[in-house]
Amino acid sequence: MKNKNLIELKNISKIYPGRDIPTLDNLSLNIQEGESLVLIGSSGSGKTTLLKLLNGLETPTSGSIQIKGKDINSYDILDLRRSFFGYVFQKIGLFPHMTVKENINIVLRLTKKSPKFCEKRVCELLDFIRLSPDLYLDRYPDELSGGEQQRVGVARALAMDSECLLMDEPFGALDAVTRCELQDEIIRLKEEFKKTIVFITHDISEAFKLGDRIAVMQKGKIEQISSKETLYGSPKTPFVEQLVQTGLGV
Amino acid sequence: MAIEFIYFLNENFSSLLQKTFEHINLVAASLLFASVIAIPLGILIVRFPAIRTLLLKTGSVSQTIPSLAMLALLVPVLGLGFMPTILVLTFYAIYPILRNTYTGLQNIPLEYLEAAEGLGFLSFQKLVYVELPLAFPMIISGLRLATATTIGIATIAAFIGAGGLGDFITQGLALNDSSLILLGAIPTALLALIFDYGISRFENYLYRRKQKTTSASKWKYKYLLLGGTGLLFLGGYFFLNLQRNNESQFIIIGSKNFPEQNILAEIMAQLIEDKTSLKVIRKFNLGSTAIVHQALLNGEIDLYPEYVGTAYLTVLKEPWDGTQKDLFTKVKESYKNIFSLRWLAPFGFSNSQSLAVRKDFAEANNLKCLSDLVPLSKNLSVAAPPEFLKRPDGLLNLKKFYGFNFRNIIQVSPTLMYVTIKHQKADIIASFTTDGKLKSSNLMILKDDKNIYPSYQAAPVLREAIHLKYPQIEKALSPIFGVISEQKMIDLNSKVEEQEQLPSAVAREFLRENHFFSEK
Repeated sequence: MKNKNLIELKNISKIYPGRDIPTLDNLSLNIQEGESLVLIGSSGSGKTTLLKLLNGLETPTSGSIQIKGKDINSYDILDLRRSFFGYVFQKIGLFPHMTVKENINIVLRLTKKSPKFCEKRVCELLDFIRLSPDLYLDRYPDELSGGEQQRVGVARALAMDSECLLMDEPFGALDAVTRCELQDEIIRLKEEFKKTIVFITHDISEAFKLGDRIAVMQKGKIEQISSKETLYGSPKTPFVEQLVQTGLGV
Repeated sequence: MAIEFIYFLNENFSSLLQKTFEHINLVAASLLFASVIAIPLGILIVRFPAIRTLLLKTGSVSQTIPSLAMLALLVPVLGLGFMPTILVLTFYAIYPILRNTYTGLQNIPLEYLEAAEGLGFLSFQKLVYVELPLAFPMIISGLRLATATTIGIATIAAFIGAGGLGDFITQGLALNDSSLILLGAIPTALLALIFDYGISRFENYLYRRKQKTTSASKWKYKYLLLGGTGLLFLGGYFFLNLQRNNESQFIIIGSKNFPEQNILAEIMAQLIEDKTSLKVIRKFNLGSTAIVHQALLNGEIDLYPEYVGTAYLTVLKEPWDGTQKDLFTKVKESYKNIFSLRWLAPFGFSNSQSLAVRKDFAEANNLKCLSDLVPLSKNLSVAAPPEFLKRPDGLLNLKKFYGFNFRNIIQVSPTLMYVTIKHQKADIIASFTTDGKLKSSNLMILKDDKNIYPSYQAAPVLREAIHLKYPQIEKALSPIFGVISEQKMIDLNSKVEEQEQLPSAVAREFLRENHFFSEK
């Protein structure tokens, strides 16, 4: 099956005012429908900026972004954020004054879904992330462990049944065991719901585990984008080679 | 002592309740207005940094303006009573709420704001669902701060007749009665504690973590509750005002804030109540001449006792060279032409001014009149009320005609002058000639041998419009015209100042023993 491009970035540059070096430097990238694309690179390589360009939290200095073949500017950006993308944040960002239930269905409420629907959807999602609704619905974020919090974060991103999940180093702050569990959840999610996932990490083993394709970023450019086998077998640049080797502990 | 205080409490309980209610009303209305102004403003300045510095700086400077001075400045513009007080209280309450709203909103961790943006919140939704709830504890602590200040400042409302617990304090100060001062001060402090506790409970209630909440509408209820509470206060405020304006046939009697004024005002009030069907509203202890006169002009009071000399010098601002005669006719004419105010006939006495010294001091130095004191004056200090320093017939003329040159002048309230001289912190006081404390404090008035003081005959001043509307007032007051001698007035004053009787009781006794009340 030939994969369709869901999102196309062409010649994207992003230069923040007052900075000499571009954060993104004439970067082009296609994201295919149903794939999981992992962006990996050191801090400051432009991963998060790239992710934020996708749902309009940042706008490119030059270049174009197309979503399903249409320019991003032709969409209602709020609608895009609510219904097309789900966002999972590195710092999780569950609202501390809202219960698990309220956190998950907040976007549903903003889009005026019926309370009955919201209730049902929240329970489905809690079931999916393996947190019993009876126990967790009315808990507050500070009554959850770190892993549970990020599960709820994932559930919140899934609430609107968005096509594409944007995950910005979601498991960076978690311990190894929990991280491994959650990575398995992501694989399950991808298989069960056929979501397109753009996933940021700086952990090469996480990238290898989750990515259909892996894009190695360095100084605002993509050094190499390919499957993990190719990345490992024939690294294009010394940076990629070094990253792969140190990451795998070779 | 304790038992006496309980009796005292019992006696004043109903007025304590009323004053407390007035106080709460003032505070609640001000806090409501302040919140309505400050919270949106706080939200605004987060978004518009251009006005932020300006507002926060002016706000913090504004807190340093003495509230009493501010109130006094506003009286000529806004008049007396509820509204100017609310305005001043609101003014002082805005800054703490504004600053805390701003700080609360500013310190929301970035992750929540990013999350809200990433999830596609409108900026209004972000505000309502994320920013305000997260800033709420901070806003509430600002409100608590504002509440504590407002309850304290609200006691000054009494100076301009807006009521509240400050009434007891000003009365207490005027009568030098510490029980009355405590009656105002203790409930004020208690009120501050209760309000603070109430607000913290309210905050806990809003933030209580209920396990079974109908979560979708929880915040809606909270906002509803906040709004409802606000409406309740507003309703209470208008109800109170309505009640005040609903009395049809009435006359409002005012007075300045010292016992003689209270007694004279009470005598007039009781006579009018006895001889006419008018309802009398008492707005006593309003403050200095300027405030009471302004109140009369604004129609906030209809009648009060004034002194010819004060009217001539302080109100009409006529020059006094120490020689003019028949001031009463001149003042009466000017008041009629300029202000449409009517002077009724004088009560009989003149409460003039002079200097008083301790009797032993007078004897030791062989002092009889002011001229005798002049050579000693450069080593002596004077305790005097603020007016003494500025009025042309006060310090200025003493210097001009007698050549006084005092070592220093201690500015104190009229009632505290006697304490000052008693504790030998001053050698001389600027006393009134009918002052009840003269006798018991062992003080001697020095004779004004050069006659530099104008006549201070006291008489009722009435608004012309009220005189025409209710001619029965002058008739009701006529029995006391010309019958109160200087000695009688000292006697009445002394009953209030020395024996701590209430002005109303002293007035009643006076009217009764002179058979001025109608025979039943």
